[in-house]
Amino acid sequence: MARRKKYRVLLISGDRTHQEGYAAAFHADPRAVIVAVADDTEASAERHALNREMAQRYQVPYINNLDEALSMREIDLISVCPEIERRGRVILRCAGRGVPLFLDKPLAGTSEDIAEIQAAVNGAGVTAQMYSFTSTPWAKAARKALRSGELGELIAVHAEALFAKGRAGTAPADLVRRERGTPDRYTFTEAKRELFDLGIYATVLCLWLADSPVKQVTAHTANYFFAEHASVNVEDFGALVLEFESGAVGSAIGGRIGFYSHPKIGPHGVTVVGTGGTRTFSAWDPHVEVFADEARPELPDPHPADPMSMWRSTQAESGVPRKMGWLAFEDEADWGNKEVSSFLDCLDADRTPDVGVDLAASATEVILAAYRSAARGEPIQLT
Amino acid sequence: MSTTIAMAIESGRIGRPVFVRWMERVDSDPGSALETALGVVSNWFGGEPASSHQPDGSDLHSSMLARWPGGELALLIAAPVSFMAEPGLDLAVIGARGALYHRV
Repeated sequence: MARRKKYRVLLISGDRTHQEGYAAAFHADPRAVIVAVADDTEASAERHALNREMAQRYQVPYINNLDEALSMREIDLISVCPEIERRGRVILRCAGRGVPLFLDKPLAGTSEDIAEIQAAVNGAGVTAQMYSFTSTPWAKAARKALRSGELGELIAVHAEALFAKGRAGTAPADLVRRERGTPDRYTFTEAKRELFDLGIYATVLCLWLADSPVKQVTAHTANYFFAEHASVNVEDFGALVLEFESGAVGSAIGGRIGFYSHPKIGPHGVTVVGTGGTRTFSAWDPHVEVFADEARPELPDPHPADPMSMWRSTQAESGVPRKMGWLAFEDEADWGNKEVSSFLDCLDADRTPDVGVDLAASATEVILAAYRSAARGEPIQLT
Repeated sequence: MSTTIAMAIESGRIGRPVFVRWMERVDSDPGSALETALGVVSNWFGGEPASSHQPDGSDLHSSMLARWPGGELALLIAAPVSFMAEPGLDLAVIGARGALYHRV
């Protein structure tokens, strides 16, 4: 049945956030049209300027007042991507608008924000989806294998999302990280909390596949690779063990390991362990390996506004090359489009997304518990 | 395998080894496999771990998250091999400025 019109998308926050990828994916989908970029008045002048750049690129208005933006009638969904420190307040106001929400990951930076977002989204009855890797071909293949019964009953699941970005080898060699139980800041120019920002991918995959509440979390964090992370005292790596109420065991690793440490963008995959055997679903299998008389990709000098290559705009500006030694059958450049497409599929079919606000909240709480575990050096009970 | 990797580590190409993900598919006791894995990794890290956490396993599966005094970590998993498949190992050794991968 033909749909009557396109989804009119309001973007909250713009360039040098993950919105760069989400906006491109909405723009690429024929079912959606970006109608405006907006942010709250409390955002910094620099943030407003970066938001304007995105609005100019998509040739839509920029609204520097969230109330004014949310009062627009011509909105069918909102893609919400403010800094973690503002995320709770902004999502609460967006939930009140009563239209579907596409949410950046992780959901928020405090338990209070997570609980308020979950209550507001559920209370408003709006469809919400947090960005994750559940729409990737490898994650879907893992779930299909699990559901088919070929692996028997689930006893363990492992997921990893390690990003081969940035110039590694600069962290102080003798630094043994001492974690703090409650992160007090998430947003920096030169670094991100990688357990939080990348570990969430692996954690979501574990929770999604295990389909059971997490009973206990044991975790460690580290400063292995980057002086940038060490200089602002945030981790570049984290590892978790999850014990589910079902009795299954999960393990998740997330981190940024350096540009030269993987032939693609880093180890990404899921291993499902069942009573009937074990299967690994890697993002890079199958692939073709190419060897040729050509220059190897060289990491350029770091972009001063983004030394860790977090954003697609700054990666393009500084000329970060794409590694072509491995040609995976499934192109990772399409993962973002698949995720946004899955969200629109849910809206079209009036279906609940795989990673709705409840799973998003649970996974983000697991990450916050992981910081407490790493700080105390002991498991943390969640239920 | 363990000797080749030890030599690669000693060559300094990947910098200081900081994390190992050891995923072994076994057709025997996973607890014994994990014990052997821990010995190999301890050799690479130059000593015994300072702490470890091992969730309740089963006859089929065993896993461990271990931390060494210098902050190095290892996630060790021994899991059942699938019907008609061969035992095998999927290994990642991540160093401070490089990585080794081995899959068989």
